[in-house]
Amino acid sequence: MTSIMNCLKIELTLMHRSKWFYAVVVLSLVYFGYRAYGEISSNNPGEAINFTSYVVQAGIFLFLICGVLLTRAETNGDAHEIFLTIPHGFRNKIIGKVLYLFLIVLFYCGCSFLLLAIMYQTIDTPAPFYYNAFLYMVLYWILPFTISGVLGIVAGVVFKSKVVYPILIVMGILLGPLNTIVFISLTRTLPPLLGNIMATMNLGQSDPFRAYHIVYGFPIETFRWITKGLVLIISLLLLFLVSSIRIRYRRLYLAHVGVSLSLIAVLTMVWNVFAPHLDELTSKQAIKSDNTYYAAYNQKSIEINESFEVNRYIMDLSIKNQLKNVVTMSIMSSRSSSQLSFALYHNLVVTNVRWNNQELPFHQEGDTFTIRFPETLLPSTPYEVTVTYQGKTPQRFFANEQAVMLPGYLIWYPVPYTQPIAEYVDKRMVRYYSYPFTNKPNYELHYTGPGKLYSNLIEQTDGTWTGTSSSGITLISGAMEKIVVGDVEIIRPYALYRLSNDLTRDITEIEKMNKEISLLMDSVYKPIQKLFLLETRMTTYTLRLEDQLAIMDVNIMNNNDLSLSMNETLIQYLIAGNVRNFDWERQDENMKDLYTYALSYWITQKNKMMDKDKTYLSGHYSHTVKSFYSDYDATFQRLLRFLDENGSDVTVLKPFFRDWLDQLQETIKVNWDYIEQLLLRYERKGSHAGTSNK
Amino acid sequence: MQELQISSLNMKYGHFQALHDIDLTIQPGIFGLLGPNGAGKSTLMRILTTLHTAHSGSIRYDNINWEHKHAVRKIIGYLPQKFSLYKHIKVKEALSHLATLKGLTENRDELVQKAIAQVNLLDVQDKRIGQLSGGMIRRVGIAQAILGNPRIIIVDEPTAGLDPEERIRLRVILQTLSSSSIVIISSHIVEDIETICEKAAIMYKGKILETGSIEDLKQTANGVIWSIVLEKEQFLTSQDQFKVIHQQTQNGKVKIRVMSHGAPTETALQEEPSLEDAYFHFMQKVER
Repeated sequence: MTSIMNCLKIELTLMHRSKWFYAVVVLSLVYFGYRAYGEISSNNPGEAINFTSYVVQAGIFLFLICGVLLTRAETNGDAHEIFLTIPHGFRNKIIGKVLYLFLIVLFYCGCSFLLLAIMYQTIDTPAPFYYNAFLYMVLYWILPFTISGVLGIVAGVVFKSKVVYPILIVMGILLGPLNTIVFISLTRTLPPLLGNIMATMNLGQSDPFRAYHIVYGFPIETFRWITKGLVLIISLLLLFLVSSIRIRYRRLYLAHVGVSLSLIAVLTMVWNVFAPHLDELTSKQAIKSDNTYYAAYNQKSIEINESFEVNRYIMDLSIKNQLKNVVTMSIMSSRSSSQLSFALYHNLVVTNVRWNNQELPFHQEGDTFTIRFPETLLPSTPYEVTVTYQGKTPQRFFANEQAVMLPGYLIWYPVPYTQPIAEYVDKRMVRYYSYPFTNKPNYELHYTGPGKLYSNLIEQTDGTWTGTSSSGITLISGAMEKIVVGDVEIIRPYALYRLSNDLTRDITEIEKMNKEISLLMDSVYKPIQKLFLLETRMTTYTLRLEDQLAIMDVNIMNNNDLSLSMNETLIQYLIAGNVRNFDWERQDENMKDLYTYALSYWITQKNKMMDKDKTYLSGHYSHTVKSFYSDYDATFQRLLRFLDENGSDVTVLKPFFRDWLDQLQETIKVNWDYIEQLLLRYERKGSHAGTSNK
Repeated sequence: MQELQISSLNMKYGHFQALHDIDLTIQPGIFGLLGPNGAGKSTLMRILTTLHTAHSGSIRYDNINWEHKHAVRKIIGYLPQKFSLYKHIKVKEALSHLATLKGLTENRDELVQKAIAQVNLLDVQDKRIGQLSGGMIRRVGIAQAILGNPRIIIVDEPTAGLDPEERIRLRVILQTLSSSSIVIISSHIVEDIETICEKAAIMYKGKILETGSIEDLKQTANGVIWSIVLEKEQFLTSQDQFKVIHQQTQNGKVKIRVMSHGAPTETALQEEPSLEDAYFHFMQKVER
């Protein structure tokens, strides 16, 4: 031990006397501080280490080189031969170097963390960020840098010539986030097996472009720790092998190194088979994967004719690396049938269906599965069927050991199949559809998974979650917290800690506006009791109003005081949240925009909230009309005039918007001709009303 | 003191036979290994230092067999040919580090001071190694080799690249060490071996050509070494006739030392052979 500590002391003395060491540390800390401050000053503490994927890649290269240089300290002359001829001399030197490497990694990462913590302090960052940033740095800085340094020492021991440097470049690419990027650019696409191996070898983030998801947090799942721990053990084992081979079996040195490397490759492959391989859940690639699926998925091939209801769900839900659910459904059909079709997200694979203590045959295809019953189910008779399924949810809506984001509008448990559950819109977007329950099923959920869980169901004292809902179950767990504002529970990412400085005012105004919109639209008023703020990265109309709950899409940009204060955008979200249904969703986006902009125009003008030139309708949409629908500019101008002239007349505008919305909720596509006809009809009514008023 | 016994030692690099049935008995004192490049000196030295393992044969010292490398490493001190150590570390620190690695934790500072004194480096012990001359660095190498009083000290090409003054100083140091240890020196500089060693072996292409005391080795060339004094012009025209070992200009004339089994000229004088003469004599024989 004394020898090892003395070796460490020598390395530290050498480091202390090297002018380069301090220069590199100071410069890299300055760079880190500069970049982190940029994000932190934008109230974005999670993203403050987003860019560190590049630091990790650079660090991997740097520590690989550092490892080689450590071995070169003796091999530039024949000094290493002296250590080889001292009992345990070479071994102790190597251990001393590994310890030294670990110490400088700790020193550098410690300084960086300290710098980050000081910057966090300046913007009152919530406490969980400190802890999670610490874990992130251990997982993505300390372990990768140590592993790289150890592998650098291995390379330095094995390769004495300058050939080691091109080898280091290859190693650096393979070990860092660059590996996938390089291989994709080389092969155009990455075969799944190779992709998994690359992911296992990658010591940095799977997605170098985005580290922090405000619901998911940093990707610090258990398997990543196991993978990196395993790689560290393998690296140390490799170092032990090459250094002991070097001492004992010099004659067949390269052969032994080859055998050792093969053994390690086998070990890696074995882990590769057993690793859960959670993809980077927060990445653009993850979102793209669903787009690819639904772009190719032919919904039309599936017949939609179900006429049964599920009245009760009893779920035994377990979420670890993937979701597993045993769900018992009480079903009732409205007609005689011997088979029923359910909708279920395609990656959730049904493994077993039981009915009256017998296994039933079933067929799963895409987002549906059909159960064949051994007898005809009678109408209006309750039956119970139990379905077991497991798999991965869409990566956009994750469910694994770290976090859960299963909004009610995602079909993650079986519902009667009456409509597609998701459709491809464009390369940026897949649209997910809520199942329109006509009844209000009872739910009983037994949940095992990451805590703390937030849901629209109510947690009972025995840990069971129960409740009724016509809009499905929403389950959320992750980097979230609950705050209570009046009667409203807000479940928000703690990253949005600066969401508002007067939430009571904002929530009251939202509720007031929600009520007004419901009245104006003649829709059922759904008071918001729970508001879930989630980052789903949906691109349009990011508010869904369900039974007593609202799900609002947010991102880190919402971490400012004005995010929930009433404005025209929020009004539009509330409008869209109120009207959302399957056929509305499928209408032309510009036509939907025209409706929400027109309605929000009326509301803002009626309430004197803003100057009309600054509204979306007259300010923004008029440009859209001029650019894309110039033939209908006159119609658009008529619409504006009509709204201005009848702004104070609810008796005209309320049915006007009601009729317009009814048409938007039909399968027939609304177009400008319809708007013209609608205007024509209501202009007459307006003038009649005006005449009679006079 | 014990003898170092090398028996039937063979070493191959692939198909190349680097050592061929080497048998040597090395007694306490300084023993030299002399031979041209590729003779196998370095291979033998590396086997002695445990850096390489022989394919067959044995090496023993006292009860220690070279198959047990760990035990061997406890009794040897080694100075490689291209010795250098961390340039930013002071002499005292470097030796203290090596002493610790050798397990000399008790009286370490005292032992280091003693080694530094033995190699006359007391004045520069607080200087960084990067600030020392080549000869001084070599002496640091000697100091580290003698730390812990090893019973066998192995020194590879100790004087290569040193100036005459430093060379003489190093020879003196090595001679001092031989009183308590076996010192094995490999060199292609015959003068080093002749000056320092008591015994030596001449190696060629992996074989021992001859081994014995320096005097015995010299005697192998007895009667074949002659000196001739020639005019310069005469030397230039006739030098191809002789196997010249050495030449020296004296008073405008050239005195040459030649190898010949009979008197090469009428004026030639028979000379006492040096180790260099004997070495050339052996090389002549094997190359013939």
